[in-house]
Amino acid sequence: MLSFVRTFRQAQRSTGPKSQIGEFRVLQLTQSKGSGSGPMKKRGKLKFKEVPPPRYLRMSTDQDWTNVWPTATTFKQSVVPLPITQGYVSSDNENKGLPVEKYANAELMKIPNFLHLTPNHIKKHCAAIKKYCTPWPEELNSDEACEYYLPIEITTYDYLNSTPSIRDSRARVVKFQFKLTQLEFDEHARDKFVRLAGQKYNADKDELTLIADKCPYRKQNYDYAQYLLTALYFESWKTENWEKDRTKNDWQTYYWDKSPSRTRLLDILKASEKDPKSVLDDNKKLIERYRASISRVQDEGVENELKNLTDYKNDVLMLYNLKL
Amino acid sequence: MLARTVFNQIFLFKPSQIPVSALSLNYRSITTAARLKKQLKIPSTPRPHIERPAGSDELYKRLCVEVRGHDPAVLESYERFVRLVSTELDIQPVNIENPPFFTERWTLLRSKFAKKKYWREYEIRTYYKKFHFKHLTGSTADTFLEYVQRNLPEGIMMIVERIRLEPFRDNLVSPSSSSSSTTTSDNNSEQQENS
Repeated sequence: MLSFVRTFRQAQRSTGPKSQIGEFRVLQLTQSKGSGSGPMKKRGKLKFKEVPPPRYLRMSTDQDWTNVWPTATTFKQSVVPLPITQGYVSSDNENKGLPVEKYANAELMKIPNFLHLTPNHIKKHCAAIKKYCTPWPEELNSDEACEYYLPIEITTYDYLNSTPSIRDSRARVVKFQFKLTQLEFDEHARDKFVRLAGQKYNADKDELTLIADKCPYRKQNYDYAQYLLTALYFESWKTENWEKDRTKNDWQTYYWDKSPSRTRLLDILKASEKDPKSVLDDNKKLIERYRASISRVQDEGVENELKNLTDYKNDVLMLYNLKL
Repeated sequence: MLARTVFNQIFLFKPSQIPVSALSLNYRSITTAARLKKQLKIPSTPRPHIERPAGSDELYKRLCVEVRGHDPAVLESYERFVRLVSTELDIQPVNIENPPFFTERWTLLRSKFAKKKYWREYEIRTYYKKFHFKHLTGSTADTFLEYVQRNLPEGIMMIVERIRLEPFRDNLVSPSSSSSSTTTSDNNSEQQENS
């Protein structure tokens, strides 16, 4: 048998008629008729909060808007004192044919507004941050001056997305560009540098481009590009043992001084003359002309081909006329 | 085993192992030869000594701020904002470019199942705007960019391209100008070791 002893501290459990302290309370599982809260209550009147009139009615025309709208927020129609409308009305039935006003206009609330960036706002903000700007040095006013003092141009990219992550892997790319005239070379070093660079060298602008994107971080790619540049430069100054195997096919231009044509010509002239050592001095002019014309034939290739070949022919005839 | 042709030599072996005759690339000698010929006998300009102590301001030759969005009206407003900011901060843009917008289109079925006769056309447009600036120092650029990026509207993407100017590092001096006696002795010792 269950028994509850009601003390002063216990809350009243039964909803039925109040019983005296100490009395046995009967357990009631269901409510009998009439024992509820009484007759059905009528639905009460909904009490709406008192909304004061919109703020823009009490704004003066010469107020400081920067204080009214200091930061970027959603459009608040009660604060903006302008009769703005937004919405397309297709017929006279819709909204009585009138433009849709700003009151409870969801479209106006959805779009980004620039009410926090009026000219007055911008002036205030820029006045505050202007002290952090520094002037551009006058010595670097022209492109040539920039190239002379600071030859390397390093290009990097930054990306701002509204994605969950602030990372963008494209930001790791670093591009180095500079003109080869800014570095010191001798003839062999410059030629070797250009061969090593391959497609990275642009002959029209005399510019080398190194794009580093191997590593995951921008600093790593920058360091790698610096290393590449240093390695390229010093490698081009070295002469390897196998470079002695260069043949005439590998010359970057026609060097008449090293060519077999010169040795053959000198042999021919020496054979006909009695004094072999003075051959060069005697026929200097003719040799020079021959040298110029054969160099032009080899170098210029297809352009001016006919002219170059006729010049060459004339020079050769002049040389041998001397003998004949 | 691939044949040891000139073509394969370039791609299989390390650059230092390729003989110079192969490096000269007979198979595409026209472009390489033209390239090599053009850069002959170009004198190098003497380099001034520039001191750039640690912590000195960076120098940007060019700064390109590209903004992309789906709403051209928002981009127009943003352009007005950036123009005003650049006037206030004394960094007039060299050029404000409006590249043409890009449209992505799909033609998809209107219904979940069957009804192959009825399709729908969708498109997404991306509008672009580019602000080009010239000759900015690092602190000016950072100040301007931070202000302009904090006030970037919702749904707009920004790409900042910076072209920074730097000198060569001090170690990039030609080996001939450094003490020649040590280098020749090194070469001799190397040759002796190799032979």
